[in-house]
Amino acid sequence: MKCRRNNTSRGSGLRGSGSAATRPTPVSSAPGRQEHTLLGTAATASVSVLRIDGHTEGSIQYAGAVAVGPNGHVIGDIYAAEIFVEGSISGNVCATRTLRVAASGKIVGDMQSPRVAVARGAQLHGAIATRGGLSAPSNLDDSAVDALLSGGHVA
Amino acid sequence: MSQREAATPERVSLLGPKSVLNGDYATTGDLVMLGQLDGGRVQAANVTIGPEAHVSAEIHTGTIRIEGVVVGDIYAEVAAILHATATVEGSVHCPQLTIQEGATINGAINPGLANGADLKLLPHHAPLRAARRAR
Repeated sequence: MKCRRNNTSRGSGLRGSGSAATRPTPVSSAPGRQEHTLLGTAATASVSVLRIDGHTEGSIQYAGAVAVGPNGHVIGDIYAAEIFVEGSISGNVCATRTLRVAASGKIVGDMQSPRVAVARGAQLHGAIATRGGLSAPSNLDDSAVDALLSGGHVA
Repeated sequence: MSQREAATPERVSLLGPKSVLNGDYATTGDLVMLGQLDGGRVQAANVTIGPEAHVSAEIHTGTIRIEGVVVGDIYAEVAAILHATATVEGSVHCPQLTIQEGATINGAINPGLANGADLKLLPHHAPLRAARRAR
């Protein structure tokens, strides 16, 4: 299985401006209300943490960590250093460092990461590979990801 | 799923760490593999594969716990648990899957179920011949 990046429309969608990307989409507080986030196809960003708690369409290429919250739903591929899934993803998932899927997580698509952790109850449908060389996103900030991995604060 | 028999020491089959078995293996009890098995098919109520074990076979069971190496497809009726030391080369069919970080996997998880189709597994307690006929 090969991880391919979709760079066809990189100019559109989210770019690494920082503040817009780090601002989390608010979790739906009122029942029945659905939050929508449009990143566009092949959105790119260069900040360290992206949390998705709403409905997102389009591929996401990210240098840092992507967290899909319990109410998050992503339709599209995700490429990131770290991916943590509590919600659902319809698309291929490619993490250059770690992929963690919580019990509430659901992934329909192929998964690739050197380290994969899946909690009991998670729903996975697709091929999974923990081998194979993965090239990190070109703008990967190693120190920020290391800080994130060790639970430290990311500036 | 049929009613599970209580796992007692009398019902556990053990493939020792120095043992090598070539061929199919079927039991209605639990199976603990610590050695090497090269075969076409393994069937047991529950399967545990030790850290030093190397199993090349298709495995049909209820719950499987893997710490060693498995080359072949896994059909777990209840759950599959892959420890950090586990290596799996093959697809895993199971309703509940746990993977500890560090496990090595190369294969598909529940292939063909993306459209919400029901998981179809052979009953883990079925005799080997009946299971073969159904295959």
